[in-house]
Amino acid sequence: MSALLKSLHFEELTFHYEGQEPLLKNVNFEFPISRRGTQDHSAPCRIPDKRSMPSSQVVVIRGVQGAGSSTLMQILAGLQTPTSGRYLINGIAVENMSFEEFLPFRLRMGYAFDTGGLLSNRTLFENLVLPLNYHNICSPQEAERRILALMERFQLLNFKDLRIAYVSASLRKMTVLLRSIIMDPEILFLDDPNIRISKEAQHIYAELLRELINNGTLHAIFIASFEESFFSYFDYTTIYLEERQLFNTERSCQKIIAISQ
Amino acid sequence: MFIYIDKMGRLLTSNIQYIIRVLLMIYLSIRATLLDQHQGLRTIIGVVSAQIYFTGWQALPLISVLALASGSITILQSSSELSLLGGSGMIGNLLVVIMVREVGPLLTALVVVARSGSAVATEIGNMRANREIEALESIGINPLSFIVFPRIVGGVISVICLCFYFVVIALIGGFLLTRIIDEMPLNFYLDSLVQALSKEDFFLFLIKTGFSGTIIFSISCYQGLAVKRSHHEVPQVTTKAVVDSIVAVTLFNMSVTVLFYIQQLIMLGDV
Repeated sequence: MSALLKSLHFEELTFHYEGQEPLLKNVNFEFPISRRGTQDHSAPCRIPDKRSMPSSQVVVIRGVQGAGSSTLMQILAGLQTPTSGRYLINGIAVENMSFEEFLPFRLRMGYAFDTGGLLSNRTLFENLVLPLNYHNICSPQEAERRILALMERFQLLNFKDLRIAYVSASLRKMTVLLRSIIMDPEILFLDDPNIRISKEAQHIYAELLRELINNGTLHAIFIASFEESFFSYFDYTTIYLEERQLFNTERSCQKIIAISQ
Repeated sequence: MFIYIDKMGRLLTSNIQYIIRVLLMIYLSIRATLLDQHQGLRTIIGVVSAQIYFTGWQALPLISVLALASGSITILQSSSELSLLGGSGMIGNLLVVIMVREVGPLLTALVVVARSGSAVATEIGNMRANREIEALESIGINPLSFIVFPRIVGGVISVICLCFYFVVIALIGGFLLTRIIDEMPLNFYLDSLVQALSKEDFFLFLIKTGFSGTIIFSISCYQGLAVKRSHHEVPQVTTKAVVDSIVAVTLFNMSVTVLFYIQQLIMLGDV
């Protein structure tokens, strides 16, 4: 991983929404994942003949519907605070950080929501350009040029001046996916990236991610999904979210106390 | 007996907690704005001016009607009653007390609660349910500095300007309307008003309107942000924002008036 985001670490992490049963209970997890000591139990589903990054850098989180994989992704991205336990980034507890203290990490993370997540009072173009302009990543002209080039690549140009209520769900989803990579993140969190978008769009997006990986800007991708259609573009490590715990092999496997030992 | 004391205690505690949480949100939004290295003045001014447009500019027709109606009614009633008592010269004092100190700030605040407080609570509530707030956080934008702070600032400016407009229209427009049936000379009326206005009136006016704006938009933003995940919570928080704002603004205006008159009595040596 990069110089800034070195490790993500859960210690006995529990999370539940108010008045609901815990989605995660006493979960331990560490990233980057090292398979040392877990070879017998972890058998990452490798898809052969794929141009790829090391599988430890693409982590697929799978679980039955409602298991909490979206919530897990949000906790990893610092968008939800654990109910108890600790989440450490580079050894620093996230729950003790203010918004401003967490910001340097946040700016190196990209997050694509499964549904929603676009500003309804802005156009598709404005949604995409907002982070670049807000954080002064580049000049407004350069930001516009970059966004327009990206929109052209994904055939969104005809819809760029429309607000999100006036475009289809697939265009909204594509915009969310593009916004997640607009600031060249080091870690990318994709929550159900394949729903509502075509195979062709998925393919172009996967190609774009590979370019970012090859450029050395993108270091890790977390994908929460049921379907293989998107993550089969990569070599990946799978972890399963089941019965409020994380497992490294499918069903009744050895519980991962710490994936990296 | 103890049950009632217990209930009252709980009610008091929950209200104090509510006030503390709203004050904390205001503090955090100011802090976030000051600490935000990226949010330029341009971004803030953009949202503030949009808020002024929706809260202030678009409310002008409604405020005009209310101001003309309340101004003309008050002038007509008071001038006829004062004439009977032989105190026509007191009309300025009466109108300043009623319009500038009391009715103007309160009525304007109530209009802003109904029009804009509810709109802000609904807008932010929907943003919460549509995960727009989370989306802002995910791209490193603090919702407190990007959404809450500019709305409070824009709301305060709007309420002050709207109330000033209300008072001017009520006193001048109302007078012109009453000329149809009442023949009070304009010079006499204006002289009476100017003589009646004092610096305390401006002070009270600013205190009432400034704090009313803060109260309305803080409560509305707070309630909007209180939506957790579902759209069905939005109408509930909107209703709560409107009710709480009306209660808070009315109590605040009443408290300021009471404190002001106690202070006046102390100055006169009656207390």
